[in-house]
Amino acid sequence: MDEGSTPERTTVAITTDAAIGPLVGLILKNLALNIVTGGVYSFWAKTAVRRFLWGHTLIAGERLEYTGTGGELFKGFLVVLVAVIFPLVVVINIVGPLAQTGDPLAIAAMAAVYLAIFYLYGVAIYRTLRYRLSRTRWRGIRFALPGGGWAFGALALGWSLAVVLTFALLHPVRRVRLWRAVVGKIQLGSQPFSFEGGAGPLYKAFLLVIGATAILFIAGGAVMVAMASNMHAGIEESRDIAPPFLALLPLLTVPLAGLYYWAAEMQYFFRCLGFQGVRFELAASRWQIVGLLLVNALILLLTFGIGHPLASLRTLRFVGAHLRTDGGADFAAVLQSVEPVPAAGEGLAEMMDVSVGV
Amino acid sequence: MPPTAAFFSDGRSAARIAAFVRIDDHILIVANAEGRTLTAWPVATLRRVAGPGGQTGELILSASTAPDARLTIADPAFARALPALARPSADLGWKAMAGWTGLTVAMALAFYVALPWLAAGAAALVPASWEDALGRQVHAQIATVLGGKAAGACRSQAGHQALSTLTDRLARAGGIEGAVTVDVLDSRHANAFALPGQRLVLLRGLLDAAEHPDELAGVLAHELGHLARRHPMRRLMRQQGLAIVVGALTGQGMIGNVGSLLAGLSYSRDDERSADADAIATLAAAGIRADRFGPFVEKISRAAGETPLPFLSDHPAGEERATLGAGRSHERAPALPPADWAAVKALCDPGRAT
Repeated sequence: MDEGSTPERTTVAITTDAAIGPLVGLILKNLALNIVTGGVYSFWAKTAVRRFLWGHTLIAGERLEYTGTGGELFKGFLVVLVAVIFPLVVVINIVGPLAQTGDPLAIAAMAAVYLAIFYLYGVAIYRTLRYRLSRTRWRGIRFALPGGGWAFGALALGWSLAVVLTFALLHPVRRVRLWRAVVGKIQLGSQPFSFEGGAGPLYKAFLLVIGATAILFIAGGAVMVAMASNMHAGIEESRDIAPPFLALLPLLTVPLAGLYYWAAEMQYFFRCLGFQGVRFELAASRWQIVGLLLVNALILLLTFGIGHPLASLRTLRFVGAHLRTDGGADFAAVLQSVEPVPAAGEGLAEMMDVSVGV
Repeated sequence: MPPTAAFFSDGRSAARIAAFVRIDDHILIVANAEGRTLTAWPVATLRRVAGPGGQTGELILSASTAPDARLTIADPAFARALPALARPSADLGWKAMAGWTGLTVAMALAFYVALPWLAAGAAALVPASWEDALGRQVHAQIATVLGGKAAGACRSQAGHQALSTLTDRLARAGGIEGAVTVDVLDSRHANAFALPGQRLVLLRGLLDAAEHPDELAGVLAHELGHLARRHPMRRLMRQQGLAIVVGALTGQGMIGNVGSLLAGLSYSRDDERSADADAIATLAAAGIRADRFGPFVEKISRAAGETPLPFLSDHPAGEERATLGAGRSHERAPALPPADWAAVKALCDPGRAT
């Protein structure tokens, strides 16, 4: 490249050329091998699915590359089993019976153990993402998420407490703060991503969730009152009285409102994202996104989670089809990452059943 | 060989350079559009990365000397010039897919069809000592879960004596060979189970709910019916077959989890009906009134609806069982004399006996 010329700006488009058939085949193969090995194969199965999805995802025309291995995941699992889970179980088994006798010191120790578990949950999310990003390359350049996640664990724990104390009213704030704490730190090589924006724009959609929940509580209360008055009339009769169909409607509207909020989040989080001044926009209507999420949820439900990679592929295609970018990136300025690369991965998340995407 | 168009990223930055590649004396040379050499990699150091592979996919190369650099060549002809790097498509072909599907289906059939069928046969072949050990293990687990802290509370000697006498009498009437062990656990639920190894377990709630010894005799006769037909072992083998195999392999003992264990103790409706029919016949053979059994079972299943435990969920509908043994109301002596009945009722609470 000539000195002094204005940097070449590349439009960032995401496309995928993955076909459903081969992915279904891979899922079946993984299922069979998981059954044969009593689940030990799952680490290699996950790796194979990621290789497939990454390898079929093209950014500005070039493929993502997943360089992680099943052995690394297995090693991470063993390390956490020995270093975290085993000590926790020992402590719980020793202190637990003492706490039941009412020893205040033991009760405090048990509370500390449970707090530690919640804390580790946040750490697990961070470290899982760190591992996956360190194993993701594009044009040979590594992604990175610097830091060990210890501060993130504390942040996640603090915001979870705040959400509980405010009866979930701070949920959107928590989501935005946690996303900012992670996405705002992601780097492609030497260049950071940015995540800017407050939780304000999310509250309109969140109001729907609050409303639907309130209606559920009111309807539930009404049914309880009706049942209680029937109970007075006679126990035999109350047996045969089913709650009216209308009272069941709020049970459906709460998940639907939840999906709508989730869709609003997805749309908004893309808007918050930035890379070298490039802005992103998910140009799909909110109900289109709800449709995507709803079908994905049905796939997971109907396949008992086995179809998860299919849901991931649908999301990938959807984003590829609807993502619009404003501005171009100067990839010559993106230098190779100098962040240390973790040796093994995801053990903590594996143990705690944390689910972070694929 | 003419130069082939390619894209090159040097691994130091994410810039993409339009380039041309050619192979010259086992060395792959990457040059830019002006013909200036960007890099040269010995063919032996080349490594194929990412990409879908196969005949149609582009070739994405790296070298062991430059692991971060990437060279993307779209022309499939170039890939054919490097047969050492040929790689079958990472995507499964239709044949492989059919193979894996077939294997999955075959394994599903093996686990859900062949294994239960084998389990039924295996149950008959299990040596008595093995069945006894299994029964003891299941018994211990149930005692831990349901007996709770007060394990061992139900120890009244007189009560046990009376209960065992009645059980033996019914077992003989039902044609069961060998000794039947019966135990009572201090749980408020009204229930009883038959376990492998000729064991019966009663819960204290059942004794509390029974108002007449004939009611208790009916429940015992019903559970003995299960024993006579080896239902516990068959059911356990069928439901736990895989768990027993896996447990043996992973060293977790024969039965790992109590939840599935309890699920294994619930029988099909057909099994329950045959045990009901056996119970009526056994009671008649033992000279005990059979018409108190049906209403009693209906009463406790209705009560169980409020505190659901899985065991009763598969039983025939209460109304159907309420009429069991109806018409068999000939005057007979109660299944236990009053003193023995009082001792059984107080089995978990010796203070009450006197």
